[in-house]
Amino acid sequence: MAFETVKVGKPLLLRILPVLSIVMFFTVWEVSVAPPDVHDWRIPSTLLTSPSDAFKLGIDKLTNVNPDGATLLTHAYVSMQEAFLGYILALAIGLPLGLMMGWFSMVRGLARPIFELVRPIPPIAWIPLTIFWFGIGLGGKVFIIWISGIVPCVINAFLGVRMTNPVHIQMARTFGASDWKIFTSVCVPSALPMVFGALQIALAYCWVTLVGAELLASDQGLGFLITMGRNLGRTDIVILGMVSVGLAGAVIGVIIDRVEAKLLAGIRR
Amino acid sequence: MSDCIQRKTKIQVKNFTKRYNDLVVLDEINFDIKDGELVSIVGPTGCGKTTFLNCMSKLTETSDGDIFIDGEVADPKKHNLAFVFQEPTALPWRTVRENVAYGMEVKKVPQRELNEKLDHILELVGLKDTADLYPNQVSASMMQRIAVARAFAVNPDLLLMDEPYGQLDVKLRFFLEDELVKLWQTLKSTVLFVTHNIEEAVYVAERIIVLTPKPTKVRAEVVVDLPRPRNFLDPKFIEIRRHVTELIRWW
Amino acid sequence: MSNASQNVCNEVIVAGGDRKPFNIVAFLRNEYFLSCVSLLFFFSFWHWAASSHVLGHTSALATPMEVLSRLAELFTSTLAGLTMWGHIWASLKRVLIGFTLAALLGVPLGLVMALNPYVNAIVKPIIDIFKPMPPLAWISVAILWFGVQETPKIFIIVIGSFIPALLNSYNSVLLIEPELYDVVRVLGGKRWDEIRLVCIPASLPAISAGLQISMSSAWGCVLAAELVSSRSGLGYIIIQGMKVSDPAMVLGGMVVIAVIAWLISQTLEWADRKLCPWRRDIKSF
Repeated sequence: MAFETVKVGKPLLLRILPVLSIVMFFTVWEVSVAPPDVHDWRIPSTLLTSPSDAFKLGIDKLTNVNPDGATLLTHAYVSMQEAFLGYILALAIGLPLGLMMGWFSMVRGLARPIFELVRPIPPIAWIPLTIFWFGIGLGGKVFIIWISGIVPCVINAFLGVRMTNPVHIQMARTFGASDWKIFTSVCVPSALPMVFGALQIALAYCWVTLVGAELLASDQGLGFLITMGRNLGRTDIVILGMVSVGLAGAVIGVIIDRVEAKLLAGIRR
Repeated sequence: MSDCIQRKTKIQVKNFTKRYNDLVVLDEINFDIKDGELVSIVGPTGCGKTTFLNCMSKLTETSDGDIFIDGEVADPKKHNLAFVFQEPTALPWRTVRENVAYGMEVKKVPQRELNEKLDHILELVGLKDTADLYPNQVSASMMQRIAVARAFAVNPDLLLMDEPYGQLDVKLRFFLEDELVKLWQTLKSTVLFVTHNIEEAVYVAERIIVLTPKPTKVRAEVVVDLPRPRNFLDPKFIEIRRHVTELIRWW
Repeated sequence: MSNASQNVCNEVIVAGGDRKPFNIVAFLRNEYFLSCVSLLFFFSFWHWAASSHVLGHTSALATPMEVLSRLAELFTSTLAGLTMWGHIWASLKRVLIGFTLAALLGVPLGLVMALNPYVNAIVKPIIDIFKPMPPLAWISVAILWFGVQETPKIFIIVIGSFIPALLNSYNSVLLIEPELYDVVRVLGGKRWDEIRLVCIPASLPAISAGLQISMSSAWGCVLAAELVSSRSGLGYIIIQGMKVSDPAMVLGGMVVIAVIAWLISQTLEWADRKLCPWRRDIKSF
């Protein structure tokens, strides 16, 4: 090894504080919510559910289909499926498009105006239109998620190519490389860090849009769970839904992190 | 060396002119380079050296005149041009070996020949043990050696070098200059070496072309007829060096 | 000296070029020409798709002309008691209030977190817990707590804009080159000088970028909140259009939303240029 990592220890207080903080947070939350049908100084259970109750409900809903029509895992699976499909489509179309737009002025001329027209529209605003076109089903939601994910992909890929070191391009030109060869051997590898950045960002956008889309136009999924909970007046279902959405998002984020680390291990920057 | 006269002319630069609207940067530069010769170009700062090299390597179009290789107008796609830049230009995502192979890859050299030449060059330059490391794991001097190796590997008709050792420390420069001369003698390529460092120019070149400040013309050509390996303290070396310095300082 | 070329960081940019003779192939491949072709094609396709009812029933799409005329109507007549301007203002008001609150909360907190490791240790874990939760997931809870007036919408907007502002201001401090602090220390500056002279100005570009993201997030959140339950605003217009199966209204609403979003982002970019004039423009989108 050309270098050694030297571990510097953090002061004990700094290591404990995060743990303490989380523990305090959950304790305060737990303690400040009254059990159902108890009215005292604490927050009534119609407004908030304590962590323990939410957890119990979660365990229950792993198998119980009431009252919203599916188990927790089914909802989660549906949500993830939609998000995944939209995300992969966004990557598959957005990244190559953005990369080519960065280098080939013809592609840029053709694609850019359409992209600039669509870009300022928040993905949520497409929901009524997609309900017209696709109804309440998988297709509509995948479309919205795809639109929301494609924007950061194109932008990041485009910027990645634009930020290519001009010296590398000049070097390739002096060897007589064709435009396409320069694109594949210099521009694309050079843009990879930005592309990886896009993976994370696009995922975050997709997940956020998914929840929004499900709130409004769905009959399954975690977002639907939340809405159903509100309609039924079951705050605990709402809280459970929110926590599940957060957890699922975190899990997906961690998976993407791992994949990225593995892929980047081969590319030293 | 006296067999300079027997060598045929490989590169001809005729009436090389570059204008940006009213600003004339290069003004009818004329010179020749013989096959297998190592020519050095020196000039004061601001003599349009970057523009000159860009035009020579066909990165920029000249306003007038042109550079001819073997009688034809130079064309990066047809002829083998190679350029070693001042900054390290090793592609960070390729290993040393893949970097040196890049030039040959662009020229579509067949795989077997590519591998042979690759091994040969890596051996010559001394990069064999570090061949599988990435550029961010090797030192700056090695980055330039990678660029030089890559340039020599394509068997160039003309190898242009733009102060490749300008950013390195003195000891390294001497070492790399020796290496350059060794490579040049072994592979017999035609090299055009641009530098600000007159000592380097006298040490390395067979002939030195001195340029004027803008609008740039050829001021003089100085033949360096010293035996190799050259000695910095040789009185003839010092004399030539003083002469070239005078030429530059006159303006 | 001619001003034909400028030297910016070793990249020579020649401003005036030589005029090349007109070449039909080059013209056809020109970027701007292709942009015009592309736009023309897009609108024609839209018109064709709308009028030939290729997407099924008649209420799937409206032609561009229909959208325009519907928009003109909306701007002059009232819908649910407000003209289009009124609705625009209703949405904008919510966004501005929410965004300002979020910025006032998030940016200083992010700076403090980055500068003080103890505050960081206490606050960051909680932020990390809430980070993966999309702001829209809070809608149901917000309606439960605050009813259906303005408050839940502002609450969602704050949640949606708070995190990007906070994270960006936090990261911005971490990205400052350490040498800049050394400059202040060598001149005898103390901690407060460091913060005042280096931290805050150096973090402005990233904070500004974070605020732009915040704003677009805020705009998305307000729309979503209005789509769920509202009596006014641009989201209300779209949902009304959906309920009465009027695609011209839906599309018209979308066009207005896009225009307003674009105007806001241009304003923020202008503010960014004024705040951070030293930033060199990478030729970007």
